[in-house]
Amino acid sequence: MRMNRKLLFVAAVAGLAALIAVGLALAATAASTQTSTTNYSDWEGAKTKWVPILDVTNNGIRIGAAQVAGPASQVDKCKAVAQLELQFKNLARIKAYVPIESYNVLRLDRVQGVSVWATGDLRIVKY
Amino acid sequence: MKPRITKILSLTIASLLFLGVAITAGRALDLGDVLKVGGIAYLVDRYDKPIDNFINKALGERHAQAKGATKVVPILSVGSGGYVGAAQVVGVPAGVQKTKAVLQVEIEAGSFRATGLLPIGKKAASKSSTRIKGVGVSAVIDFKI
Repeated sequence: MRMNRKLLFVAAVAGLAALIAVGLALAATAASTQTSTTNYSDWEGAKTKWVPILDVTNNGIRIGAAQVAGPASQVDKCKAVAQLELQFKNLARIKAYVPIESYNVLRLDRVQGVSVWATGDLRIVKY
Repeated sequence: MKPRITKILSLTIASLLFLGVAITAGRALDLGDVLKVGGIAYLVDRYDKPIDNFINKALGERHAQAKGATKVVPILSVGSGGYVGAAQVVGVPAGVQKTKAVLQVEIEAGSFRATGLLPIGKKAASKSSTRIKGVGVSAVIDFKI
């Protein structure tokens, strides 16, 4: 009986310690915000539209669609979204989306104030 | 087996499992171990600023950097409710500062599949989550697991 109580106590302490450790490991992320410039258009009454995603690595091949959003005048300028693949320290693969004014991915003319709200593609084969 | 002993055994096994997870989480920067703990939250916390800087620098070299505030936040899946990756958000500074996560919503209409990316002000998916105005996604980050 005494042995069982001891076991129960050890198990409870171990569980509690583990929970605290996990909690600490996954502590809340500190907010970090960078501001390159402040002249970024506000989006009240944002306009949206779907445009093709062009792969920069593969000379502008169309690889899907993106819904872009932003101030109406800027969204109207946007013709496509260039997708740039980046590699961060063998730790993460990054797909950067750049809303652009033309279909030319060799020169990325970014449309400022516009960003991506959704991506989409067509399923060609259903398994 | 007596119910009391069964209970003790179950508690012990559960505690050992928790302990294993905790010990693994404690070994910082051992990527394989950290990721086994479901460490996307940890990775975002650890690498948010370096990744943000890296993306801005890479785009800056191509004269394609976004003007406005940027930040790296975790992506929450509506289905699983867990973190599935990270995203760099861009937009008006006040909105970007409010953004805590990006909610990923899968929509299917016939053969068209869409993935909605909604910047939200909470770190957990809920019905009351609303999109933060003036903020959108500029990059999606997949951690190698």
